[in-house]
Amino acid sequence: MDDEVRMPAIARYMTSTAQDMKTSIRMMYDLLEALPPGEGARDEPVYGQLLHTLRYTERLNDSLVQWLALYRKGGRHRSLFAPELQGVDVLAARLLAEESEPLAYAGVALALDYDPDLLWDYDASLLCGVLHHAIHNAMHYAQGKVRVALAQRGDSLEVRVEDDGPGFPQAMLDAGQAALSGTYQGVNFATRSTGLGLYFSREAVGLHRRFGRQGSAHLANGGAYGGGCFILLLP
Amino acid sequence: MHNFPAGSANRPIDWSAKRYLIIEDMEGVRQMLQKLLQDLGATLIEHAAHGGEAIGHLARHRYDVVLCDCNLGDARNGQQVLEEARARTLLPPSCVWMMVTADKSAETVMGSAEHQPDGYLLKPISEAGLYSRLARAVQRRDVFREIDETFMARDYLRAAALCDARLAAHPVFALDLQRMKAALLLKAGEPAKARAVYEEVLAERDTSWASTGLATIRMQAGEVQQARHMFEKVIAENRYYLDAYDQLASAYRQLGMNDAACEVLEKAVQLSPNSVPRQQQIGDIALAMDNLALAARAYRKCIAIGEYSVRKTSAPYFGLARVCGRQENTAEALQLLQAVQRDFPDQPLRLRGRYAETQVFHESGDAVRAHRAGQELAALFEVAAERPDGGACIEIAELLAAVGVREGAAAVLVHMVRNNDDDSRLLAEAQRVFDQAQMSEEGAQQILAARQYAAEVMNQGLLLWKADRLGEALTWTRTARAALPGNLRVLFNSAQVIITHLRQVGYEPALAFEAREVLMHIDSVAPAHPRFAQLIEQLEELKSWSGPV
Repeated sequence: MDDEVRMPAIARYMTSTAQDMKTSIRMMYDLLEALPPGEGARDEPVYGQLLHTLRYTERLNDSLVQWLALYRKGGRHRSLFAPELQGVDVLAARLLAEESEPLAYAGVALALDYDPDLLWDYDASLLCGVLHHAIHNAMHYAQGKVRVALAQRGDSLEVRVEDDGPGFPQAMLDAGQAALSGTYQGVNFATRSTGLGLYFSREAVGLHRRFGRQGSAHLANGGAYGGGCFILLLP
Repeated sequence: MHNFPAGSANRPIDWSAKRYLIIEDMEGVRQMLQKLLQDLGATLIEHAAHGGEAIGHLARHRYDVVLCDCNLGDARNGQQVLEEARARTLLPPSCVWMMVTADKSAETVMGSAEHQPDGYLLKPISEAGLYSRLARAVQRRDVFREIDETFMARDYLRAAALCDARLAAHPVFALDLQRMKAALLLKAGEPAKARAVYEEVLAERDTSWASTGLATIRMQAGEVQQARHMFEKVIAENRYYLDAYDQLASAYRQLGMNDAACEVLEKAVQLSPNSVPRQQQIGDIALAMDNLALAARAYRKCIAIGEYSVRKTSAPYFGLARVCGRQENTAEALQLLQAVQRDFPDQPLRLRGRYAETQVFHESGDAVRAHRAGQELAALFEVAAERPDGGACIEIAELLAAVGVREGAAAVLVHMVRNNDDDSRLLAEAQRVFDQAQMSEEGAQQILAARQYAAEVMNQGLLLWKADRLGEALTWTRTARAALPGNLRVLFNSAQVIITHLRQVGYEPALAFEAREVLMHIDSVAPAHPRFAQLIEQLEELKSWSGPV
């Protein structure tokens, strides 16, 4: 694949901003790590809270590392893309472990629907990053339920993130379509940045290729709960 | 303890029954990793802060799981600790080694496939990510355990059959199993079968390793130009697949494009700067091109990165000495040759050292000292423990002829012909060296006599074998091997006689060991020979029954 990714100006801006965010989080993370263990300090309740905080900064840092890596491919850094033939249950297990707690905190139930015997070639870490954003987006609009479904459709793996909210307005579906077709020009901060999220997602799933076919991301309304649907198709 | 779904596991993994080693120089990260493992249910967790401490732990205990940071802030990095642990067989076959890194670019620092860890964990590590990576690696080790053991015993054909047997039950590892099977078939000297495996994989998905494997087989079959285009395509699609760079360089060299070969290796070095063999190859090509500056740089780099690696070799010292010789810097060349004898005291390098010294004098234009060193080289050749292969013998003879030690050259060539009497390419090379030494006619006679000598030795064995006088044939294998230690036909027939003997009189460990030694020697001097694979399979089969059939 061509390493020179054509990047719109806004994506470059976002990338450098994300780089700053990552650096500051890294500094915080290092600071937390460097705190002296001290005599008996580990028995203090605050130590447990620190560990908890550390986990969350890690998560954010992890996610930023993934996005940034996608845009540093031209440099000396290796692309993070590492697909593996594995069960879709591996992805389901990671999503359940990483997402259900924050969703429950927001009063939203996460349902997972998948065939445990289905094998696919995919990069679990990369998809976790993409779906993390999709699930959190769905959480904002959901009344009380979010569902992630993994199933084979034709010769693709379809990954759906569905909510029971009001669904996407037409403008977002249009922005999504623009991002999908590559005519995405920038982000309209007056509305929402869904277009940008979808643009990044499309880049990430697009790394999944098979005999000239390439992964794609879509937005739709409907699904099991009749709300918004974020859909990935992997060859 | 968290209850994750079983993943693609056939049965759940008991994390509490395993022993863990965390190799990490940062106290905070060590705590985090320990906490993550404890959350899985692990209790037996030990720590090491640097490479030396880690090797000490690994030598004392057998670990099931090792989490090792790539950068240890020490002389040795994580990759070098892994290589040393493997080289010293400190890891049980079931041990899972995960490399922890803050930046996945570290993955490219690794060398060839056999030096890879079981997986990489990207820092900071999430609990679910750690669990799924670790579970997969443990299951994979489980599926591969018997295959790896059979591979270690070099029974390549049976190991390949084991891969086949596991394919249906473990579809999740289908690609790993097919990749292993193809590699085993290549080692067993069955390129056509390996090719079929690669083609089967490629029909399903375009995979860098399968394309590279297929192209390598085509290159070895003489389709160099086609292979070259396939390697170039692999690199265009996946610039991080380093094996393709090495193979492409080899294709360029065969096509006489040394510049292009150097260029592609330099690109690979940019991606993965710490590969000893790759730097060595750059040095060798540069030397062949007489680009002494580039050769010197590559050899020096090779020595520097080999410093803390178990893969440190003497080759770059010899290469650099040769560069110095050509630059007429005899003093430094001789210093390097002394250093190599001092730094590798356990290796039989006297002959190689004397050869290099002769070459340095010869190439720096010191004819008198070259002749004297050549005489010592010829004398040493008669008694040294080192047994150079056919190609190396030709080089030694060529050098001896060039420095005016003609009788020594002839003796080396006679030795070579006796041990390679059916290799027409080497026989032609021997005649060429005789021609250069203006010994054409005399040489032709000596070649003929050497071939007759080898044929006679062979015939004695064959007659005993055909007459079913196996006891005498057994004695013959020993005298024949003493007379012609490098002759592949003698070695193969020796192994065959011993195996037949074992089959008739029953399994005797001492004789089986002797056959095994002969076969191991063959596989190291002439890898990927189909007859080796068949004989070792027969020998391993004999282990399982004790009486004659």
